[in-house]
Amino acid sequence: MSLKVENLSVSFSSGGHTVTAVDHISFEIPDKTIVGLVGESGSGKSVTAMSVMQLLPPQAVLSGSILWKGQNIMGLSNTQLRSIRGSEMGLIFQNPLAALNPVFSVGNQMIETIVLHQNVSTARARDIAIELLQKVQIPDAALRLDHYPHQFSLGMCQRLMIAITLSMRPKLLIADEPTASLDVTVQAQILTLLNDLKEELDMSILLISHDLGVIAQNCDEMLVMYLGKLIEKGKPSELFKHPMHPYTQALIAAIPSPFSKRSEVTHVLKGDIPSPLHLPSGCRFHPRCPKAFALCSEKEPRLEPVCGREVACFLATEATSNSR
Amino acid sequence: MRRLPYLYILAVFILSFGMSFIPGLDATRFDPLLAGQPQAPSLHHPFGTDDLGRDVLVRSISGAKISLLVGIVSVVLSTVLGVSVGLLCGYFEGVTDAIIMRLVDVLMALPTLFLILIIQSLWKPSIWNVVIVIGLTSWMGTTRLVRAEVLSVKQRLFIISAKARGISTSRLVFKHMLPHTLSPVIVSATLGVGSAILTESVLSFLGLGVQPPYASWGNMLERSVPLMNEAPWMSIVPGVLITLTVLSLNVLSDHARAALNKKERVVS
Repeated sequence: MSLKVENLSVSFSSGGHTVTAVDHISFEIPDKTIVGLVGESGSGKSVTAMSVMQLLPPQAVLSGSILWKGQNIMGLSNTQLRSIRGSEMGLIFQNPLAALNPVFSVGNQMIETIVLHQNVSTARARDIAIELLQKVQIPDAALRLDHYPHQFSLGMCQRLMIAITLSMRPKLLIADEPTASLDVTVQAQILTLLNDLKEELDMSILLISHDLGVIAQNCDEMLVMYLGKLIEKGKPSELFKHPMHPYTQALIAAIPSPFSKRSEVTHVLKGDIPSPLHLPSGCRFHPRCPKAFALCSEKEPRLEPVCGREVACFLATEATSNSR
Repeated sequence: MRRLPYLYILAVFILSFGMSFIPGLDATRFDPLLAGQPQAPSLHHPFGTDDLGRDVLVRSISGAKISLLVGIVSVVLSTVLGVSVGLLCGYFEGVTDAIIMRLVDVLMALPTLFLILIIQSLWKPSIWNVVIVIGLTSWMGTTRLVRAEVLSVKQRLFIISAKARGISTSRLVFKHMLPHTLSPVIVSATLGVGSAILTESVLSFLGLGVQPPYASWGNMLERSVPLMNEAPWMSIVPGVLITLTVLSLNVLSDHARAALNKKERVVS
């Protein structure tokens, strides 16, 4: 019982151009684990999340397979997907305020969801909703239930979203940058809450973030994405200690440290993430890579196992084959 | 000053629908003594009488009822139709949408008034024909508005989030999307009432709408044409009423637009 994504590609075509947002990525989320997905904006993290739930607009072209409990959910009908959405997989977003319908009270939306997934009466659903709000530490739960989304702070909204999602008791929670728009203290609360609930409900979590600290602290496995490709995956502790891909190295070096002096400017990658319309030849990272050499612009490195993890870089694979 | 159009519409409503409860006020009753010679406004007949000796004020109020009825019922019909088709097209996109929208384009190109004229001359002219024909020929604008709103609201995160919760398509469309498409619909429906009232007047003026002896602003105007010089009150009163009513409704729809925009700004 786990999620297995194999060779997933997602492309969008518009005005004669085709943009490949996710390019042949494969990963697994075993039971009761938290897998982190990191990368810059535009690296295809959210598209990956949305394709796992089959929520991309019809313009998106998907290939590969997404196996949930051994069943390929790619190309399932809307009705079949509805039995998976919510009750099997839940989704929370970076902007919780926009994820709630502004014209209905929070209680209305929670009760709707609970009635749908737990087959209970509206009155019972209301009690369950109040319990859930208390569980995610919203004070005056019974009163707050009748409030509208805009009457809550962002942190509270995210807790509401978590409560709504948990009411469906999903086996997999996809959290698309759940803490990106929140204060650090609130961020810590939300992450603690997610960890507690994961233990309580035996969930697995796909945690998407651009915050490496969040990933390192919470995940059992970490995936690094760059321009739609997975470039390194492994245990966060090892990746942090000894990142092999120059991009992962740069990401880790870019974390500001309270102990470094202001003059010691942290390593900054040159250039911007290239447009997915004009992908660089060879390794997608080579135009920005400080260690690039001739081969990098000619051949694309494949994701290959290196010392208990997988890396897509010639330097890493070379180093290990030399040491053998 | 801002409240004037509201007060006017309210007054027309109360007077026209309340009139049936006051005995002795019959729009079809005429005074045989006054027949043949229209009477100028006087204390007894504040807006004068027509050539059959019928009181113009009473007839105007009675005509208001029919005009408002036609305006409101036909707009309800066209709005229900327009919103349903718009939701359908916007949600499903693709082939269904393309076919229906081309049909809408064709229907929009049809000259509505002539269509109504043909239908009214084929069948026995009746007020319900007028309502149905106006309703069936004016829903396309609403469809376009609703479709455009659905296309944009569909992309919003709360719809994606509702979908991720496994909420059914019908609930998604009617509960979660519909309320977000209504602001332009309310505005266009208010405008629609005004234009339906105008259409009804034109039809009645041409003798194809409300049939005598029942009063409508349009057929009062028609009756006044040969007597324009001797009895100007016969044409001025219904003419001014039509203008004021349509003007007030247009102002109302403008206010609705402003109010709805303000609300949207607060929400987002």
